[in-house]
Amino acid sequence: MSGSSVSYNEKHNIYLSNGYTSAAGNTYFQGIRLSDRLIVKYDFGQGYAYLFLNGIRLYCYDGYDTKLISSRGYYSQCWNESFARHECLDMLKDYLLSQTRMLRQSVPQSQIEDFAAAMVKSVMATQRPRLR
Amino acid sequence: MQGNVLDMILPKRGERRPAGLPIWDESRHMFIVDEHESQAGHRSYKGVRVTDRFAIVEYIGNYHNWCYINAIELYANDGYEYKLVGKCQLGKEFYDAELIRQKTEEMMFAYTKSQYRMLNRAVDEVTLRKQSAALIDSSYRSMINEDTAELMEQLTPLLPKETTYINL
Repeated sequence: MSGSSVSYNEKHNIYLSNGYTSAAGNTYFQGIRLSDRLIVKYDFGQGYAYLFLNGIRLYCYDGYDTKLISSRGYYSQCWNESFARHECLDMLKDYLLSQTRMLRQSVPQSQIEDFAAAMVKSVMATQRPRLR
Repeated sequence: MQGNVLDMILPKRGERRPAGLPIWDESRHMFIVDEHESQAGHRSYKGVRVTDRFAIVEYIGNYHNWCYINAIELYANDGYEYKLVGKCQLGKEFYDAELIRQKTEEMMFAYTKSQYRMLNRAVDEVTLRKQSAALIDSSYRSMINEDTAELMEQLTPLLPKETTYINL
């Protein structure tokens, strides 16, 4: 989202990008939630009657750079906060598990789940993080 | 140590991930490598699926809401290294997992058929198509299952150099 302006929606704790409106009248925009460890980017499509979730991408930090760690696309998925939270949790757990496997570290599944839940909770938390 | 491992894998802003540790996207069964962002804000990377026989590289671009597939490459293992045996250049194509699978199956079929011809051997195209599809299907596997964990040790050295796995 470099070079584009964003607005902050305090009620939902989400930064929203500029929208693009297609010839069919549908508006596409992005939403971002972030914490000090995780960035969640949502791809939204506003149709005539429904707000659709077209994709979720998770990023982690590597120094001051961001790295894509997981991406999922959806088709005809209406926006639902609970669904989005569950998907983020699932994606993050898979990432943590795959990384621990590659590091040949044995980490209990429960610990991974608790850690992932805490990370997702901190991203969703209603506080306005500083953007630099 | 276990708590430290998770902190290393998902570090705070300003802290580094383990050097050389590749990122595995379980959702799409691929390694994410070579990621960079242009000044215009376009983010692009390569998605790599590796087996002991062949590798598939997807050139993926993200711009705003949209994800594009720009090209697909097929590499075959000749016993020493992976060599390019097929490439499909796509123009402004939205990312479509089914399309990518179809294109890679076609490339695999075309490559194996050409090899049969050069070996002057008869080829049953129907069987060859099924075998090509089965080969490509074998690359779509989970890396977080116990039975594939050991395969990581073989596969990570085969990834592009900038993501070579460094044994911790």
